[in-house]
Amino acid sequence: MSIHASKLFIGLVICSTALLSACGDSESAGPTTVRLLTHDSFVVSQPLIDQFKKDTGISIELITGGDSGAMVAGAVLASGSPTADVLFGIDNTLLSKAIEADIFSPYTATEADSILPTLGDDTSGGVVTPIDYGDVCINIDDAWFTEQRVAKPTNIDQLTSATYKDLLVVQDPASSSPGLAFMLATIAKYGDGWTKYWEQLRDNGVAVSGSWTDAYESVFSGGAGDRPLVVSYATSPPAEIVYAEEPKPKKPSTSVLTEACYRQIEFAGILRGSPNEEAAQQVIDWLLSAPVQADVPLSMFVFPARQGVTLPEVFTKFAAQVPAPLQLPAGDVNAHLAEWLKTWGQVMGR
Amino acid sequence: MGPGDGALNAPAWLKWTWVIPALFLSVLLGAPITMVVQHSLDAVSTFEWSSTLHIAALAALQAFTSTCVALAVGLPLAGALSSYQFRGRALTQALVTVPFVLPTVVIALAFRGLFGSLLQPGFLLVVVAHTYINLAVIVRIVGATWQQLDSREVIAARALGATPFRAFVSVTLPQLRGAILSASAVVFVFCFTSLGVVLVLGDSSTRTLESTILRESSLLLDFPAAALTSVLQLFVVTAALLIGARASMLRTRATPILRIARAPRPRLPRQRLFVYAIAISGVAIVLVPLASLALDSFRGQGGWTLQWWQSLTSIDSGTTRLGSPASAIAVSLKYALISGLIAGLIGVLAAMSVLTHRLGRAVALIALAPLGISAATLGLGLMLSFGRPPIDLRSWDLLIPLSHSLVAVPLVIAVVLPTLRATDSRAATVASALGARPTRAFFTAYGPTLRIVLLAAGGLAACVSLGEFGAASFLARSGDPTVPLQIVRLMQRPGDASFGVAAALAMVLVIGTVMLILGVDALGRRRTAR
Amino acid sequence: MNSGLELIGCSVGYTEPLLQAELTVPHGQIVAILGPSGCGKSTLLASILGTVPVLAGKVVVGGIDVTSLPIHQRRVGMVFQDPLLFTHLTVAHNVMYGLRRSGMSKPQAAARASELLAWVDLQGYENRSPLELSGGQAQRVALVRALAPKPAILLLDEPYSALDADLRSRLAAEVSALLREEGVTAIHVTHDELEAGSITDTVVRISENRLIS
Repeated sequence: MSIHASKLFIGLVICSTALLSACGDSESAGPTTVRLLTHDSFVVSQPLIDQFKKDTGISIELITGGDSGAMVAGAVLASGSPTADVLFGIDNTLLSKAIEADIFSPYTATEADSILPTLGDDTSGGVVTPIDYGDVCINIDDAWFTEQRVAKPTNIDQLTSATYKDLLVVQDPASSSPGLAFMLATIAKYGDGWTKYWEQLRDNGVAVSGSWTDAYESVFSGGAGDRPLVVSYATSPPAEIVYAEEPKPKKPSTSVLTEACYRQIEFAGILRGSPNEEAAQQVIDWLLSAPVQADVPLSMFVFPARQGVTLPEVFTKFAAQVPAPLQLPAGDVNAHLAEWLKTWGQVMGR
Repeated sequence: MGPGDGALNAPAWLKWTWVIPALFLSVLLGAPITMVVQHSLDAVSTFEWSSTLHIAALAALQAFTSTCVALAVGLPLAGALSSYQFRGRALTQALVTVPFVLPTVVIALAFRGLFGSLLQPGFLLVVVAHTYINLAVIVRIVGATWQQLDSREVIAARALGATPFRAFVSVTLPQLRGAILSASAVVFVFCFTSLGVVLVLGDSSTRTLESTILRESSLLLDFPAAALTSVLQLFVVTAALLIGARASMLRTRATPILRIARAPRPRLPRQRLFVYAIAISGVAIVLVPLASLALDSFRGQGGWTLQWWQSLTSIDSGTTRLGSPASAIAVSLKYALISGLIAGLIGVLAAMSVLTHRLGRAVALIALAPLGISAATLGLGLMLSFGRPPIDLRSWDLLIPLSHSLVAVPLVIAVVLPTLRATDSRAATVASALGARPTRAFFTAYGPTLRIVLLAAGGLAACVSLGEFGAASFLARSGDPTVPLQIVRLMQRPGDASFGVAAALAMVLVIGTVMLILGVDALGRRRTAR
Repeated sequence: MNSGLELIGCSVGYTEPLLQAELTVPHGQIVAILGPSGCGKSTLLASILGTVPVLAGKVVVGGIDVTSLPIHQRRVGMVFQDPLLFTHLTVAHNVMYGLRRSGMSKPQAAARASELLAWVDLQGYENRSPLELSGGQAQRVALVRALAPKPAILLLDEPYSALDADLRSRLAAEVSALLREEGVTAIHVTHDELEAGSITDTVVRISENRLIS
């Protein structure tokens, strides 16, 4: 009995393995497949991909390259003989390193005129195309401030004052993307005085988390923690509504401090060495097309790069509009990032 | 005794079992490491030696402490689980393995929830989390040897005038020494190269070279520096594993066991008290952090809810990448099956070759390396090695289960080797005497053991694959994400639903793992029952 | 002179009584306990040894009430069905184990171990590993190991059952002679009538859950 049972088991294992790997095989899709390399958080509605195939005959195969950093690292290492045709999701902190490594084949999207003028700069122009953007800002747990009868902060200077002692949690810029963005925001805002600002934050009891998840879910009072201020995104409040429990609340319990936000722009580009360059160009155009751009807010909780796209109501109502987002020139970030991270580590003792 | 004994009637092919694992390793391990070492040379002159060595020292201290604590907690548990048979033993064993396969981010969140402000991120919290995760390594590896000790030896020592403590130290411990050392080496290496735990639960005192490599490779894109750091880490890891391996795995001498003594039932009240106290506290240690997770999967703003479980199949439906958690389960199972099969086969072959050929020992030693090679480095090394035409394997679907099995192979060897050693090779002699040809005689003696061992090894490897750690997270992949990746992604966005569904999915992973291990253990028990 | 062993009103078993035992073994006597398997022989030995406490009654070893003493303070020697030598120690160190526990110095213990090994015709085996011994040799080492610390009573639990018939009767006779030579009190449990009769002074039987001498 036992012998038969285990033979049967082995047989089943082998059969199902063969079956499953047959299902997973997507190599044979033909020449009109464009491989789109993205990071873990890329999402787009499936009907849009289906429609694209119907319109152009091009099917899109998504390849995930880990988080944004790992994906770019892989693409840089593979420069010239890429694993994919199009890369989406490189942001303005890593862009100039990637361009330096010559991983992209330059292309200007057909509808490049429609892009918000603030999003392009001389580094990206003509090489890659901005697809979406978002702002990293301090988020506020409104309920806490109401209960404690403390005024909500209106700019990040105040965070070093006694009123806000032990109230803020940030992320380690070396391991977290919003953490890095917030550090860059302070550099953009204070220039050489940024280390002094961090010394003051440190003395005022700022907490440092290793990841956004830990900061937002475990330390932030909007999650399970007790600190009412956290570094997150300007679009976190609408996400709170969209991903809320049914019945969904009328309005989010968090708000955004719109001063000293750092702007993250995500670009798409054609990878140099792609055998399908023409089809790849169509994919870039598709990413910038109105339907995809309209899909971007609720899929990834970012703003579309294209002008004149109607935003969903939850965005217009609750996503913070940042009047003057901060940004550093890509070249500066490229040149100084290692040194900044080291300095930050020294100041914060990490 | 070992399959190599009685060389006269051993089938000729037995000497060549090392070839397949050697090929497997040289392709999947040799090539990437060569690339990495090559890259590392460029960084030698500009490298920040002092700060890197400082981090290495910190990590070694942290790993040493974690290992000691894991031993202190794990040994009593291993003892209770392997010296007595009792109801719930299999379940306890299965539960202890769960933390090992959960994504670190889940464990980290569970611990943060459990300790709240009581235990802030830092050295202590990292040590606690590492102990939690690695309990399974101690219980499994040491338990495999402990199970084979005859409990009457301790009684013999007691009758000769030894106190219980003395009998343990002078009779039990020396026989466990090899297993303890090799388990400790594995735990040390896991803690030394830890990434997820130190990022979320650590502070400046718990940095590891792995976290440095991550920063160098995917933030600064400084590959030569990342490569050199990896090489440094590889040195420490190799040294630790060599110490562990020398003590146990590579001993060729078989441990003859005249008859495998079945562990007794705890029949006396004080034995019951001892066994159940330890087993229950072991289960409690494992379950308490998981319980908070289980509660999270049923808790909404307004009280208890089934919403998160119900939306397991529906959340994000209609979008691309997030697909549905249900599809993640399918993908995880597929990878688990494939890598279980590969790692089971390669690991068993490697374990056999340790006993049959000198080169086999070398192969088994090299097979240990993936335990401590930086996941980031291995991932990048694989991309470098297989990224040039005509062999572009980077987006090959099998690369991910293959890299899972790379990490599982050393664990398989550690578990399989003691069993193979304990198999009575005299049956082969008997079969030969009855006229069986060498191959036939070999399978008469080893067939039953091998079949069970292969299944158990495959199960273990499948668990490792379910947990998905190591190089795989750095490999590009097409298709839907696995369960651990899906959990991480859900947790990376705001909203109660994201968190609730992630918790529910984590529970699915827990239940899946427990079922898998229970199944494997049931197969293993069938052997002793025969 | 004290008796070697007295079982007074003993009720033997794990939780439920398996056997009632009333027994006195005079000093220097070798007693065989006979009974079918499963009748509680091994549990009885375990109760004398101390691994299973008696449910009621008293166990007196060499004149001392050991009922509530732990195993290592009872001065009861034990030889099992299997030799159970400590394979991580040499043959000599196995024999020295009990001597060292009773406080003897290392050189003294080593000398004594050599004497004892010579006594069972195993001189020259001191530094061997137990793994190199034959079944009969290993069982003889197990015997001197148990005898070395001079126990008040020696328990033999079917000590030859793992050996072949020829070797068994030879070793049984040898061991009996040795035990008599040293004047050791011993209890020999077996289910083999012949073995029991040939090597012991008295045969005690277990029937209907009672053992009475």
